[in-house]
Amino acid sequence: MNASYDVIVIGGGIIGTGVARALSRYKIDVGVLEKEPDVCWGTTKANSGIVHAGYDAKPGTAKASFSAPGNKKYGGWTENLSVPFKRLGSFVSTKDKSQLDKLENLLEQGEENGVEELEIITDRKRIEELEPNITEEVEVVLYAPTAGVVAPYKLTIALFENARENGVDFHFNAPVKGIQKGEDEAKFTIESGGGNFDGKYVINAAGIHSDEIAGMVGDDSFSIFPARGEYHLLDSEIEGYVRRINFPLPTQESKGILVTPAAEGSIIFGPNHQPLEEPSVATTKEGLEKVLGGAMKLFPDIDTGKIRTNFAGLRAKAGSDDFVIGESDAADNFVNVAGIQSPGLTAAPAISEHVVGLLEDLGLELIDDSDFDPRRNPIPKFAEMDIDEIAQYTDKYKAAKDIVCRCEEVTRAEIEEAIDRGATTLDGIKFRTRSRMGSCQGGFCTPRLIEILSDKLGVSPKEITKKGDNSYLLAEETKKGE
Amino acid sequence: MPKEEYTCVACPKGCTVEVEFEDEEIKEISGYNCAKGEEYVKSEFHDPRRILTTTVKIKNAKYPRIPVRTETGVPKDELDCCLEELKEVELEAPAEVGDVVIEDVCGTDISVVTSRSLDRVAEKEEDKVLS
Amino acid sequence: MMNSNIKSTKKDIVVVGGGPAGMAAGLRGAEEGAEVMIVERDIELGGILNQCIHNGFGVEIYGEELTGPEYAERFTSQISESSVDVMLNTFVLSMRPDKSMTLLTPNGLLEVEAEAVVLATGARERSRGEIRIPGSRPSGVMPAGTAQELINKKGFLPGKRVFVLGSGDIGLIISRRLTWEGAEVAGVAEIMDYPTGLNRNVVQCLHDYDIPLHLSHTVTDIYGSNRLEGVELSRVDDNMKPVEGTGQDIDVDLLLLSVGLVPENDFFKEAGVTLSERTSGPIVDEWFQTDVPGIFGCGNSVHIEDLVDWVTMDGFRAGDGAVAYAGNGNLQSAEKDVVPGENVNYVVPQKVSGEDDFRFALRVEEPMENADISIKGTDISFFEKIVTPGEMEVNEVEGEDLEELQGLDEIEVEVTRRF
Repeated sequence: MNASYDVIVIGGGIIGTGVARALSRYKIDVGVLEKEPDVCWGTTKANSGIVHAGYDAKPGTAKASFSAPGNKKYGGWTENLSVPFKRLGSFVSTKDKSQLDKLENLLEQGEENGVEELEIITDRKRIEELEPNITEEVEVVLYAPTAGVVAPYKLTIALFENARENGVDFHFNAPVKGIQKGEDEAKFTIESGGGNFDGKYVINAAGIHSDEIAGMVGDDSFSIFPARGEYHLLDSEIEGYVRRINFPLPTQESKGILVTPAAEGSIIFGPNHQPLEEPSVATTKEGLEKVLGGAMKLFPDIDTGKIRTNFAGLRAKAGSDDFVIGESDAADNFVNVAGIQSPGLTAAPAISEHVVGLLEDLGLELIDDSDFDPRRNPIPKFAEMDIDEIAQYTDKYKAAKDIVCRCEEVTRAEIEEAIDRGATTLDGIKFRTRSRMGSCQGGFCTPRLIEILSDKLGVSPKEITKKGDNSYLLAEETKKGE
Repeated sequence: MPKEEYTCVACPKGCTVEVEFEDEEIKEISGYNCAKGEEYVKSEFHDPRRILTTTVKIKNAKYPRIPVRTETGVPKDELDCCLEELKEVELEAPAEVGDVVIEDVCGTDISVVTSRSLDRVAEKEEDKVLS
Repeated sequence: MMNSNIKSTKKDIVVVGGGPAGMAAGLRGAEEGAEVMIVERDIELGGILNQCIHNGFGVEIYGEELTGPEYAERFTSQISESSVDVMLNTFVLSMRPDKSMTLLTPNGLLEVEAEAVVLATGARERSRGEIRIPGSRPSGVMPAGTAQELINKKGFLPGKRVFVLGSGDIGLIISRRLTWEGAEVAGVAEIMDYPTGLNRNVVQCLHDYDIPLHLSHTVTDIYGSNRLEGVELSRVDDNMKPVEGTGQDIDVDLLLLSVGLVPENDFFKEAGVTLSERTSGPIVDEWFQTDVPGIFGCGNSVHIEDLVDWVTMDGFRAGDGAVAYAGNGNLQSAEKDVVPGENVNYVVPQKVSGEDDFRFALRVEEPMENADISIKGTDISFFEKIVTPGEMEVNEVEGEDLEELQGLDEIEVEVTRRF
């Protein structure tokens, strides 16, 4: 299909959906182009899910200027979107009192960046109260109570749903192939796998591909160097063993291998840091061992038998090692929001609002849309209902009496609603409902999920995929020879 | 003399048994450690048989396939032929366990029978490919 | 506040799980006159037997080789004629130590109070993440049992060129099944230096079709960003660690994992039952009663068994125990610990009274020929020509032998070489 917009956003990650949703409160036409069949399948999908306090970045950098403000916006952002967000607080721990000065430097840096409530704890008893299972060798901790955890995919899906509800068009399976800049008028024509789209302004939020997209308008001012981070994810059975976001002392490349509760209950270890020539989200034996080793330094007694799965994500690191945010020098009205590596998730709400301001500065007229509704209703979650709620819910929907994912107690009603809201693949259902995230990792429910998707979408089970493209699940029917 | 090696399946030990033969006749067996083993290898040599367990298509049932089996072991060499013949079969529910699907499969004089019962389901559900 | 719309009922025995273990326990309960309910989350009874369409079931009990569905049907037909109340498509939402539970049925919520509960919840397959295979995350990697369900019940082949990790019986049997359905099985890998499934299955499922079995090998990488494109197979050393430089790439579009089963123990945990670290199932006595009085287990929810026949017999035994408990409000107390000794990985039951005949099942740690399975400090001994970790050994202590246990506080079972 073809369409014309005031603003075209390229990329359906946390930045693309965040900007689209921020723009949706105004009377302007916004379209989002995403190369995948769903939002959130790039860098946003696989990361630590940490909303950092904001003490890490050097003052004066873009990272620093958006982190603490981003953190402050998270409460309201996630409340409106009905996305679980927990301010668990973070620890930077060291076993060596002589490192105290390093923590003090971090604290000072944090205060300069506008982080509140930072505190250095040297009282071992207090450390144990806050984090009972941390190694007894830890003597000094930088405690940042404002840090929190969020499920990045839940948040991105919520931003997508709310933006769509408020009039933003999303075009999936629409990889951008070329961008033409009109000679006389301020207009771009974008050629994509999903059609051609005209736009007055373009936001480049294409993650690890943002340098390629910028290149399409002659902007070669930055390059993206993908760096892989690998993770272990543990069974939610041991929820509570780790209570805060735990970092070792940071190094040049990264904040180190952290151990943290995930927003949805389990515990994650990771990431390591591996710069890659070719982007890949495959995990490696060496990487996973390193991650496990790093985690064990902080929690030596954690039950590693509870590791359920591993995964890897890509950081979209710009050459400058800072966020690249602003109008391109090569093309008017083309705005790069690139190099959004950690703390990009934290910065996202602040960046989104900043980009809206940028567009206004560039001449986009922003008139409030009185129909804008910032609130988004989540899919009712059976597993979190009490008995009375279940009684009402199951009375109302027949499909709610049919539990499809046994491990996470996800009903057919939830799965069908996830499909109604845009899931077209097993992964799409997984990120919306948690089915296939439990102990059996989809062993039991995959055949049923294929069946439900096939029924709802009206396609053959053979066309159902794990994550679009060629990721089919069934090769052929048996006994097909007639 | 030509030789053939067998892994005995009479017990978990899995002895390697060697058969020397001439003109389809066993001349010598070695490597077995019990009478059961000797018996097994002899029958494997002269007439190896396997029970075939697979599925055939079925209409109007809650599943699109029904499991079937050969009543007794069929000659090993006939398995492919049996599988091909079974590809052509399509039953219609209801089916009872033990219903004969093919009476004399591939000229073996052995029947293929259903190995479960399946009720007939309402027409509405019939075109669902998955249960 | 309890919702007034929620119905409630009482039963002598509630059996959770309608597979072979639960069907046996439920039937036995009904035969003995108890009011029994079987709760099954699937659309029919039979559990995993329904997808195990190969033969080999029932040799111990019926003296014939039945297929899984045939074996199941022997029980489902009896159950349909019995007084057992079968609740299909029904999910246990909560299980409490007082033997009450909340069910979600197709007709809504149901509160059930039971005198005795039998948790026959079976097992689940271990997943890729648990064995920590690194690599990418394409489609085309699944547990062998999921493939079995897709092929045998749903009529779909999940791949055309397949590699199987794990030489347990499930891995071997699915290899033959795939071959029969026209897929090509490129190989089977086993991390141990011996096949863990039955020898018969190695011969009839692999040798018959020239499928290579790679002993002391494992999958060390997974390729393909969307659909599986291949795996890396590496040799492992004596400590089961992959040896650098031994990796070879195998192009396949399906990787099936047959890397072990884990008892589904969630309801035991909810009910406060103590679990065994060795089996991941509950600690049970000779009646399969757990340490929460009146809550029983049986079958794969207690420990992973080789033969459905043993599962059935355990189910009967648990059914007997549940009937006795439901009738009297208690069972004879089992005070003697049964503990694994030399070359024994685990023994079930872990407790016995020493008053009644009992059957015990064990798995050895290492293969051994001419082995004596014996109870230390007694003359009780059972000879086996060969024992392997892949085969469960089941023996019965009965009659006069029980007297020998009188003086023992602890029953240590060991497996030693006779000669």
